[in-house]
Amino acid sequence: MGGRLIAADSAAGALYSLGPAGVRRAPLPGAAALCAHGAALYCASKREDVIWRLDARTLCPQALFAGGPNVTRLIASPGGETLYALCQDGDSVLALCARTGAPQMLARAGQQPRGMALDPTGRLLAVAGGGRCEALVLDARTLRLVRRVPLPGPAADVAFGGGMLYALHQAGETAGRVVALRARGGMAWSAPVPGLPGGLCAVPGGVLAGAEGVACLTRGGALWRAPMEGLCERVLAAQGRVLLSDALLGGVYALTPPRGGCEQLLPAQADDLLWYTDAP
Amino acid sequence: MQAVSLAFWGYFGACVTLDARRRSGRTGGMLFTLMALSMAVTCACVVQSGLPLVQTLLPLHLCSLCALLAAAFYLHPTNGVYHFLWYLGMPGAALALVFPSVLQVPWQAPLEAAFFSTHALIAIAPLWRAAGGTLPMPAAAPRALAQCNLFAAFVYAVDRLLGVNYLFLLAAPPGTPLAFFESLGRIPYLLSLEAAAALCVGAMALAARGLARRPGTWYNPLARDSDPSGNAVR
Repeated sequence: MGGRLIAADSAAGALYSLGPAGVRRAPLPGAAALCAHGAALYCASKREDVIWRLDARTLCPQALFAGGPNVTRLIASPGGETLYALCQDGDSVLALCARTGAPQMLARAGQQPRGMALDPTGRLLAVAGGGRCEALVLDARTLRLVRRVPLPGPAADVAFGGGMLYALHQAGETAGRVVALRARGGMAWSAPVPGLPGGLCAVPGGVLAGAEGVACLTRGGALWRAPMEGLCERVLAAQGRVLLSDALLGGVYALTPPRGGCEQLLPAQADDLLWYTDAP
Repeated sequence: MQAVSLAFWGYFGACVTLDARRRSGRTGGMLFTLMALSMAVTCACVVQSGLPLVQTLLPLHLCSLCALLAAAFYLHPTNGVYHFLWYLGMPGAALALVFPSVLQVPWQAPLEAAFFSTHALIAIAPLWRAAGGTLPMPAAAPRALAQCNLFAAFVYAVDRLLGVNYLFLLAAPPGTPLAFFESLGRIPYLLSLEAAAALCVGAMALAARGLARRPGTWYNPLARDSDPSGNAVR
């Protein structure tokens, strides 16, 4: 059972699929945020404010929905029936029917929100409120506000994992900080990350935090840090490696921690990354 | 026999744990098969011996219940079973491996081999899961203790009804420290069993806390791929 990395590059207007067979490029104007469920791949277009449903294997478009202004994150519910779109320019979260694309709910969320995460049960949706310096926890069914967590700086990203909500926020001019919050409130731990905050990816026991490089942070401290130039805005774990996109200098890289090298996979300026495992 | 079995299953457990640390969830089918084989051999030995089955084969000892749970767990790991095995199954099985008490039957050697393999596979189950990247939660300890008490209450009723002694609730196994508490009366004896269970659960909660403090040495945070639906850890 193999896996493929799918990257969206809005500047080039293309989707890239990197698998064992090589790199495949599929044109898609404004391709930005990505998510997948089953055989369907969803991709939000920055240029036309729409969401495409594509065949995840062939990257052929199958359907087109109306989206929102500048969708920067897409998440599919665990059952695959609902799509959540984070509209950065609309300061809102939009819930859509994944089959028909019919809008179901809309909720205000922060100011220029940047990150969004759904908890593993599919009941809670967290949003990094951007300039409002807060993380919001919404009821995923109703998009009603459940909890507001004030943060000391602009919130860049959020992630759920291991019963925790992780939030990455700016802490100073060129520094970030990851805060681990317990499900019932209260901070469990926090850790600094050097450089402007990028993106988060929950992993078992902790979180990968992207900034100037990537750090694997756990309750006991940083397991390892891999410094890089640029800004790691999207980070994910796949096949024992960390895949990341550099938002400043461009490029998609694969990192083998803790001492392994860093290899450039794509020269593209990826807006979003997705690890897709083909069905057996 | 005991030293050889412990050495073999210790080595086997280390290999399985290291493999799970590299890529989680691959060896579940093999471990399930081993567990099913162990349980089948145990049943065959006891049935062949002609011992009364109601007094020996009902899954009402903690380890019998845990063996069934562990077999299911290897195929479909769930958090509830994981915590039950971590807090009660693993310490119980470890004690049984160190202080084995095996029935005397004509097919003694296969029964002893099955005894060690079953208990070793119970103890390995939560370690296999932890090495795969899912740490036990200290907060789940009280729930595990409550589940143990519910199970004990049910077994006590069965013991009284059938006149059997599962979980040693009606009489202490001879030659163990529990015999001393039994001599003090029924209530002190039951309280000593409760205290022993609470001690095990407390010790395992401390171990869970210790694991969370040194996660990198126990498991590989990159053992699982990110979820395509939104990067949550499932």
